Amino acid sequence: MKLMKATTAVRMRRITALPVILLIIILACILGYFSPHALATQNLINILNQQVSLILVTIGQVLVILTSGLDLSVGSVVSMTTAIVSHNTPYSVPLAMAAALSVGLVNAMGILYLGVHPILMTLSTMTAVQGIALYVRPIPGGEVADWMSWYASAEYFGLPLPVLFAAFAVIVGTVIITRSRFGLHLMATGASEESALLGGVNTRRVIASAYLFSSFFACLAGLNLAARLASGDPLVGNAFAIDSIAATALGGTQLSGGLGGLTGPVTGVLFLALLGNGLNLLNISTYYQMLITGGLLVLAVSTHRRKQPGL
Amino acid sequence: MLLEVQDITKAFGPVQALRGVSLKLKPGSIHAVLGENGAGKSTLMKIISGVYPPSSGTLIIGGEEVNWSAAEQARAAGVSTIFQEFILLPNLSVAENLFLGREPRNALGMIDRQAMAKESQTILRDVGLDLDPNVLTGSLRVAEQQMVEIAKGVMRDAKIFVFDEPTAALGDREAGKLFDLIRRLQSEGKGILYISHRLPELFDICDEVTVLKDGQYAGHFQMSETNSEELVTTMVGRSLDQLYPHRKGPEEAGPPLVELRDVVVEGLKGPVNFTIGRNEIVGLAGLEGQGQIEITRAIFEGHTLVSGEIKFDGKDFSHTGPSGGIRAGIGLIPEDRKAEGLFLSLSVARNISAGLLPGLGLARLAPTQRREIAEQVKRLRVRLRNVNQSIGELSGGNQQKALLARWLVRGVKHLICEEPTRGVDIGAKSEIYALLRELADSGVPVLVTSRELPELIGLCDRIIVVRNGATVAEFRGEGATEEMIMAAAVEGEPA
Repeated sequence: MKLMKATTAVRMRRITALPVILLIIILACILGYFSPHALATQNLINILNQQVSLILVTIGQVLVILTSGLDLSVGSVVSMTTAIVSHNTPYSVPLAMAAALSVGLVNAMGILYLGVHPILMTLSTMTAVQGIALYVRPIPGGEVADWMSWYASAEYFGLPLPVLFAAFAVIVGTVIITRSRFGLHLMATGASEESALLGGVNTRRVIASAYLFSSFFACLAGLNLAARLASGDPLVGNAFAIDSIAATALGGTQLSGGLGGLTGPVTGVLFLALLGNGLNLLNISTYYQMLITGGLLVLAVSTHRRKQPGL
Repeated sequence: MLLEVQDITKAFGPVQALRGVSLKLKPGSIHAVLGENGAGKSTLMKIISGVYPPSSGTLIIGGEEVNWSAAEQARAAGVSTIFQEFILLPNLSVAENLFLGREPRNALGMIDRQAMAKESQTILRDVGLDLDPNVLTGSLRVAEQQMVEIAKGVMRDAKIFVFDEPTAALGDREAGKLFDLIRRLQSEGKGILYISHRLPELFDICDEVTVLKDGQYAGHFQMSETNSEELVTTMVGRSLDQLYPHRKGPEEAGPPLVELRDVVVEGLKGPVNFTIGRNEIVGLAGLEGQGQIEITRAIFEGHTLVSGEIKFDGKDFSHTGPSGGIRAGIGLIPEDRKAEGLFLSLSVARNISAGLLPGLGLARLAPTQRREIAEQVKRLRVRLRNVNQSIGELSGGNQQKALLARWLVRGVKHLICEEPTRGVDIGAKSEIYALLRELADSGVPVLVTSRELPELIGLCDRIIVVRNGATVAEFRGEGATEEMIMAAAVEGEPA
């Protein structure tokens, strides 16, 4: 009866990742031609290792963005986590986790019960949490637990443990988004909170969970970063919010919510990292690098302009 | 009794939406709820489907009093509502929508997509819908989405189905299919509440009807023992023949204000020939999409003409764009009120004064004209709390009146009204008709397009029939019949 084969919902979600996957292939080809060293295994592993924290933050950011929210506080949570765990006590890590989750809880409460717009709510907590980070550790320094140093330097199957950990987190995140009821409810809530509610979704719980997850992953990112630096830095997370949002948008996950996945955004993180690395190897100055990155972002994001969810 | 609504009231702040409404729904019956827009039908439906709790009164389902605080509870109790605005999520698959909130899970606690798709297929086939359950819901046609919505109710073994204006967006054939399905639900002993404006279809499928007026119970009839006359009178408090204002004879048309000669608009065949006299209401009739809108827009926006000429007030037409048309003295009330006519989030006052903006420099203060606006609001009897209320909160009829007020405040020479009463209840309809007539009598002619032939016949002095972008026939409103117009619209030769 239908002339064309109708799009299935699952394919629609997968398709969002296609442009960025194409982009990264093109980029790899260009780099392979101009600067073969960029694609050397060791260089790629280094890039991956450097991006573990951003990948973790992006997982949480995607969950929030799927509900059509935005979490600007992730960067401050990363900073705060490194600041707390760089005071090496047995309670530091649980304390950091508890602090991060309370940020998520405050975000969720503000958005759900006070009706504050997600951008404003998380902008406020971003500022407040930055203050806490600076209070806990005014200048970079301190030391981390032994097991964290071990984690940062361990290798299995020729890959750094953090990279394996990130891969594991991405797989878990993907399963959550594509297979779990929570994932489906995220999509539903993001497309239309009211309709989802009428359709039998507990939207408040879904949204609250998304922000809690976001803070949780930001905390993991902070732990990873502190382990790598073997110290704490109250400003180290500054760029994470913007970078994770850029990668998510680049990855085809719609900022208006309800459509997307993890594959695209994680590829987006890797694309931006590979691009920066390649431009470095080509000896292009930082000024031009930023210009090029910004320009490419506009180009890439304009291929999937904001559309109606689902259409 | 499947459902008993007893003495329900509902207040939103100071506004009393419902005052002591009662209703009884028997199993195996289709019960219509009739009333003007704003009479409280939708509020009542939302209470029955658990979206709002009532302010007072009781709701009894299957003999038990219920006290819902969420839509899910109503659903669990067997009430399935097919809302006017669909609650299906466009970004999910049909199966995901059907099972939302109660997805089958496999041993690992993850969604069992295979089981979901399989069960969905069975249910969809059961309601006569042959489609792939994995397909994206947003890509379905409205009628199909509605069927999916019904399937959702069937699947949950609902006992009560509530339809909120289900045929508003359907063609005749699709509506026919829907009616078949509703009758089947009826034969299975379900109770059906059916809201609609369209009287003829109520007589087609309903058994009984409860009429609401201004949030109050106004009457209950067996469908077989009543007629449209009685229903309209109950609903509006006045009878049908008073709906349209009195027309004057052809000698009163006045000198022509707008003249179209051999006009061919881009993308249409043409030619279009007609004039509008200063004291006339002229209607454009025809099948869907035969060029009616292109013609009204050619006049309003001064579209580039392939050939021919449009004279306005004796002079050649030279404006381009809507702002030029407005400055030339033409007002347009567009077909798609929400998208093209209103600024939904702005206040009523801002929406009305928006008509004053064309021709003003950007550096000028936006005019407020409080007094004129208040005058028009009063004259047109726009029902609102105050003029600073956002216009999205008003009913369709009142929004339409606000648009009229926009052009009255500006003082246009000619008004174009596409679908003057779309989504407008009967009470406001007659007020709008009277107003258009008043305008024409005062020398501001009105050009009307409408899908509803009775409206054109009742309202217009002359009816111009267009087909394939050309004017093919002309009738006097008085004495025209739907058959005459349809015959010309379908097979009339270009004049």
